[in-house]
Amino acid sequence: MATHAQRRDETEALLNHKLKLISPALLVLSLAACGGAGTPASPGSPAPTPSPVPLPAPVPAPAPAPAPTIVSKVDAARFLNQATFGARPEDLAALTGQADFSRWLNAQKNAAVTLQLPYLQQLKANGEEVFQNQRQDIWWRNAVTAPDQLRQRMAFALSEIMVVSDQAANLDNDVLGLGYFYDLLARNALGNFRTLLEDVTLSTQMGRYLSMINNQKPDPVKGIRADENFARELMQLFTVGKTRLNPDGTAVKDGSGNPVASYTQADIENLARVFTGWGWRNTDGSNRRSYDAGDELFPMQAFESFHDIDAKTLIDGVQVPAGQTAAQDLKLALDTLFNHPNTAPFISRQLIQRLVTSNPSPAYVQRVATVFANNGNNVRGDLFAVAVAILTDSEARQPDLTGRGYGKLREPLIKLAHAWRVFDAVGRNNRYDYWNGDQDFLQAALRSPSVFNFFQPQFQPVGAIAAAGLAAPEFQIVQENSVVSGGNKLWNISQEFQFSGGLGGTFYNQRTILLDFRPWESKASNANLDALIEEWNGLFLAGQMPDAMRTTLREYLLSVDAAQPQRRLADGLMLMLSSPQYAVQR
Amino acid sequence: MSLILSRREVLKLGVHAATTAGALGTLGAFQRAMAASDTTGYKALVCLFLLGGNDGHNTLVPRDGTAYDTYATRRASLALLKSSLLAINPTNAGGGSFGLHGSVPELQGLFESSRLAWVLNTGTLVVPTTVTQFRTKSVPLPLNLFSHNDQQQAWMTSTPTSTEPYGWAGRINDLLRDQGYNPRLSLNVSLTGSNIWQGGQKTLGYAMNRSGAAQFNAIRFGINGGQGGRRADAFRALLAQGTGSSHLLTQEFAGVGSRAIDSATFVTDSLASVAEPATVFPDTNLGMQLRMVARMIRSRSALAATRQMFFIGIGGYDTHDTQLPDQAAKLSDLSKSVKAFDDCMIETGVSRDVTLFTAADFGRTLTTNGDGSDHGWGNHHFVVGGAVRGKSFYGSFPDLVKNSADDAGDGRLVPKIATDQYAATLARWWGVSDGDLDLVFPNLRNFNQRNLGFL
Repeated sequence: MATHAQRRDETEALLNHKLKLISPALLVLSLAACGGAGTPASPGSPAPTPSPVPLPAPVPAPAPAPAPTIVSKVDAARFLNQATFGARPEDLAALTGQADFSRWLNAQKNAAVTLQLPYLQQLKANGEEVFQNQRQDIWWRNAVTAPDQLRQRMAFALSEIMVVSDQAANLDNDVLGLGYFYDLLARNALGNFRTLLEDVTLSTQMGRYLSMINNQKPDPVKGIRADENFARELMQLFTVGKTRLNPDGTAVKDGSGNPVASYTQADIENLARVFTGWGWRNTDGSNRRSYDAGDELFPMQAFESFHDIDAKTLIDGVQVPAGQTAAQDLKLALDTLFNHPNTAPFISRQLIQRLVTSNPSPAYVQRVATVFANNGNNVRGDLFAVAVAILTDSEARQPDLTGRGYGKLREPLIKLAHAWRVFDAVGRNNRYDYWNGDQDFLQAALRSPSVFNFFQPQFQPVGAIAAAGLAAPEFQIVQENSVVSGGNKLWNISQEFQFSGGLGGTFYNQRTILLDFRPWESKASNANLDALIEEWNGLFLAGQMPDAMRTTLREYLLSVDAAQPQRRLADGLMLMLSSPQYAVQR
Repeated sequence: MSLILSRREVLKLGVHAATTAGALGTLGAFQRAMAASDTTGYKALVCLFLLGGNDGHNTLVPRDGTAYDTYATRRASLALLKSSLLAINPTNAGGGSFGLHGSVPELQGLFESSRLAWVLNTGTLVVPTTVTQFRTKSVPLPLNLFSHNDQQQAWMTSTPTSTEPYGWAGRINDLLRDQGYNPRLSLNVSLTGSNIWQGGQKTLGYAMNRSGAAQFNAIRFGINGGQGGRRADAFRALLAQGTGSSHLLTQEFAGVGSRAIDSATFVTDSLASVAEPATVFPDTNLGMQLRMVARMIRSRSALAATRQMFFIGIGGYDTHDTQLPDQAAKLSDLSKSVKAFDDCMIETGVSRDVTLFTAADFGRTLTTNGDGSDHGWGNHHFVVGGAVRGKSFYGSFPDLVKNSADDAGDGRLVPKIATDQYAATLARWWGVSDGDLDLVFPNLRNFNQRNLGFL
């Protein structure tokens, strides 16, 4: 564990150093794209300059002299909707007019990590029986209220790449353990990918989800092979992916135009033997791998007598020598996958999809992957630098918003969090007792139906999107039934509010999560209505509301009795949240 | 070598031609008339996709002395006790004795009463493939064998060397559309959300859930006019604006919402027009999904549907761990639910018009990782219904011996029957013309037997 802590400290130091260096470079990048004053950024933005040094530098080709600029309200809103669980009025006001995003990003990097486990442990200490419901409660609380929003948004994105799920029978009761796992994602979300990879690998949650825990070396007498589950998905989903990639994330093709596989079945079988010997931690020094209460909150431990010490040949022929310990094997395997040229574009592309756009240009992927490979200080896998690269890239900041495929479908949970953030919502019991996201939206934190997440990165809804060759992953959970159940949840939450006259609606208990309409009531008067619509346009649509939508909203809201501003707010919010315009983040 | 290459080239051309919009779109009127598929009467297919890959090698097991011993040796700690197996007596298995997993007495009963057939060692293939050809990669193989999502996709598309997201049910739907068969509700209905099987280039599947088709509150509370009516109008207006958007994602979201509004009332009213079935289904996720499929079938007249295809996906079959208890629980639910469905089809009087079939990502390794199995290839599947020529096996039972001619390694069995043959048999019965089969299943021509004969 000493090496862990040490590596983390080194990473931190490098991060602190790096930010000072990288900010001006990023500023150049950001400004380079708006130098053309209204000219949409070309998808073929400058590729990194070829460099004689072994590691490529993340700084792009020299840009035209930048004109001074400040963060506009529109860009601030767009940025906040990409980097957080939704722009709030106060966030928008604070960011608008700043010289660039570096102060905000820096503050986010330094913000304390908001965790789940301490909350769950406190409930338990208070004598409360803790179920997955309370884990959903703390997920919502952090999404809605945590100050370290960038970290939380990245952690959520990572939870959709390195998937564990309480739908697995053996994790259903592991409430604290899943809190521990989510915290592990949050702690590493702006840290280093290599540390994240090891922490995830050795967590008992992943150990149980992909059946790595208590795997043993092959036993020819009993006819036992090593379990391939974790080894396969570690390569297919968490690191390199199935297909060999170019640095820009496009597939390498063979002479016949077919994609080239990254690894073989034999590679999986060998890697499976690497991950033998790990079990529940053991504090008594014996060879006992069984579970004791609380073990789920610690990494798995190696039991050498169960580890396969024969030599192994991994991906690309990497040799694991015979006779190594379980930890030595694991380190070599994780280093190999971490350093594999696929990992940077494979992970970078998915993080871009989670934050900014479903169909990033290869050049965008390459720019981010280049930062993944080297943050500018010869550190690979710096996730804060990756997040900065994603969010400050010209394709995030200055895209062609008229493009018919730019942006992404908003994830349902993020829509709901956004509404609760804007209207400072919380239950009267000071909880976020909403745990049916999987039923309403086909999405709830750490509740995927399989390791393939709620939706897959390459998913194409048939119709115009598939015909255009585009991906739209989130559409995998938006069909006729879920668009209605999800839409009706958005209806319900819009009708549950407090206002100067008391509570809206009729159906309340202590658990009802209430929007606070009080600061908004005066804004719903006839005289202020246009300003209200414009404010919501800024917060929810980043200033991109079409005129027709504005007209529809205005006419409808004017038809609601002006003496009931709370009804205007509730219906207006429902219409906004369920609109096709708000469905897409661009 | 050159022979193989030229064969590969031909195959590649075949796959390409049949998976592009052009192939279906450029059929002349005459050819379409020649190829017309049958939509008279009524027929439905129900796909039960056992997500994760059911271990068929522990669902259907040899009971003969030597064959059982081979099985037991190969499966080691996963081997089922001979005494736990439910004996079945296939009419065409050369006198061999077989048994089903102890958790599926209902399936045993269906088999023995000739309502269920087993299709053996079936899986994704491009061409007939031997172990040697697999090892030397001397024939084209499906993309990413042994990977869950890829093999699910290959099963669903029948174009296992392409990543295009169009399924064979979707392609059939496209063909019928070209032919003028275009019912108000998509004939492809899913109880488990998005799936590649049901999407075509011209047609979309329809997703509902086990309790029916819900309507937006904004629409429901607007039917009496007044303020609610104005709100519903605004809600619809925003959707209509989205439909007209130049942005593809906005457009698609609006499209889904608009389709949901249109279909919810139609489906709800149609379901309400027919009495609920007397048959009692298990109160499980699968049982309730099958019950809703049964209700949709019973509502076929109100839905004006003469052809339907249903999709249900049930997870939990990826038994890397604790396989013996986990699979037993899954199979018990499966068996009871399928029996209830079959009973309900008899009750409804459409037993000969409805065929239920299983699919799965892949089979599993015969060898064990201690307490589970890993991703394999060939697998056993079953079909159920009044039209099924049951109490029979289709295909040959694989040789379970280590390094046998069926063993690609660790007991990953090379399939002898392609999913295309299995699916084409189902599709032909359902009404797709023999000529159209080649458009729907572009690799079918690579296999000698176009129809496995179980229907």
